[in-house]
Amino acid sequence: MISLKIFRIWQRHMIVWRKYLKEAILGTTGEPIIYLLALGYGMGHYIGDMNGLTYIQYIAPGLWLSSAMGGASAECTYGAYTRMTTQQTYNAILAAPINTHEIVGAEILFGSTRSFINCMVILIVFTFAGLVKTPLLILMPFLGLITGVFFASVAMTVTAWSKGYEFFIYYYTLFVTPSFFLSGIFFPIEHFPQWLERIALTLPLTQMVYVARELFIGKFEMFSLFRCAYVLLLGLFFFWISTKMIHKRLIK
Amino acid sequence: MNHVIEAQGLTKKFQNFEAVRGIDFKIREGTCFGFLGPNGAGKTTTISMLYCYVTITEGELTILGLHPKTDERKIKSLLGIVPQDNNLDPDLTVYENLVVYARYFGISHTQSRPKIEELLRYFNLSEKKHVRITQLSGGMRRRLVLARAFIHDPHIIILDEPTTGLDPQARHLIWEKLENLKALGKTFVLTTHYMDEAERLCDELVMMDHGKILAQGTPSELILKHIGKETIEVKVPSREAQLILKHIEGLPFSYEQTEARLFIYTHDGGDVLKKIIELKEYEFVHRRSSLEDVFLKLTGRKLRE
Repeated sequence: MISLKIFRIWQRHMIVWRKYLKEAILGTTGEPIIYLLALGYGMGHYIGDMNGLTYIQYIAPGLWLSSAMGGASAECTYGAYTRMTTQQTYNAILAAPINTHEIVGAEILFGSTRSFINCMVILIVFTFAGLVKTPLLILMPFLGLITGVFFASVAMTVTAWSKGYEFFIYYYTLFVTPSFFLSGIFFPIEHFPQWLERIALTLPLTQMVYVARELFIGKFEMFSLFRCAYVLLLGLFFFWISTKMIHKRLIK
Repeated sequence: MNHVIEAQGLTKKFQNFEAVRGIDFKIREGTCFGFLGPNGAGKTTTISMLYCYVTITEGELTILGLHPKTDERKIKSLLGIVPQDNNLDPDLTVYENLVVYARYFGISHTQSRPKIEELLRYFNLSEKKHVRITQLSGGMRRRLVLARAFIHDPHIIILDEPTTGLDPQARHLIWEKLENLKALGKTFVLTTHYMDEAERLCDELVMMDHGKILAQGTPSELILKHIGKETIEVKVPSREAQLILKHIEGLPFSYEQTEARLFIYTHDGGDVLKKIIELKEYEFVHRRSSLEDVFLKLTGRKLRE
């Protein structure tokens, strides 16, 4: 059903992306870095140590991954929707021997590639900032990739259903913002009321932040693999759903 | 000659309306086959079924012996599509558009490079090679879409209104290019509502309206069958038209009447003409009948919006 043509579409996206390289990277890595500086130094001064880490060290891994969430989300909402509607890119591709599954697959592959690259850029920035203390952090871009697969797939599902750019407000307000604030990037979720903690625990970003924070202090447990698998499987589930929905939308 | 496309009882139902209602047609290899009809006639839906963009509700369709349901990929690799709207990649340059598109057909950049250069030359786009799509004129964009459709050397080229919205120079250039390519043995399937385009390019055509085929044949066959060789167009208010019709009674003709004009169709205009001149009162034009006359006669003169 899905062929290597996926990479041909991915190549197309990469050519375009290279033209907006600076904007694309700044757009999704700039924000987490500003949060890190402002909260890390500003709030950090009053907070002091958190579980034996400075506050800036505490929030760094989560903010790092939030750039993966941002990259994949932007690409597979506004970007994908523009390609599907205004630019008619999907229609052009469908005239070639390529099916809707491959188009959606390429979007998710590209969205998660952006997540990977964002995490790579932050890896470089953090290395220079002296925040990288363990070689394990070389794995961060791969955690970003898994995070990216998940968010890209959910974003594609929303795109498939969207009737206009305004619809993405649902995705950002009901999903991205809660993920950003409730997944333990800034504080431990154990102190939430129980019901909220339960919700927070199901959020894929929570699981990924957990893994990232362990990496940050130089730990990698087998259980982390389960957390990654959980996020990846959820991603594949949404990939499947979005493929069905996009197919229904495009092929009359 | 072989038939490369055959359709029988081809039907497309959308949720609450039937866009194509059981049509039959056969397209011979190396010819240009036209679908003519007003807006909403079902032309685009029909050709979209050819390239698997619209699924078939009922009926049979084969393209080069292949079935859209089972051989989608194979069919698409043999077709070149020129869609109604230019769906070029606005973020890419002219050259990049072609490189990227060739890759969709599994042709690498190294393989496609000479073909791209050739196509750009052929469609007079070489100078614009590194220009972004947004900076091209309408005619250039259309030519690029045409070039793109030829990138994988397709057997059949499907053109959905190839010259709609272009100026006369651009249209004539495109017609010339298409005629040359036809001479090389390519098969063309075309939709249009320009009668001059159909008369110039099509070897055979069908006229469609409301999802059905109203007439089928070569342009001259259709004119002879439905109209007659000659048309006399008389400028006359509808209330006075009866006068003229009475006056030419007994001669072989058919006619059509609008508010300010009477169209008299006949195989030999001489006798009718004499009679009208006798009346001395009316302005008229005597001309060769055209596809447009057939079209308007068959589909009516009501506005389609």
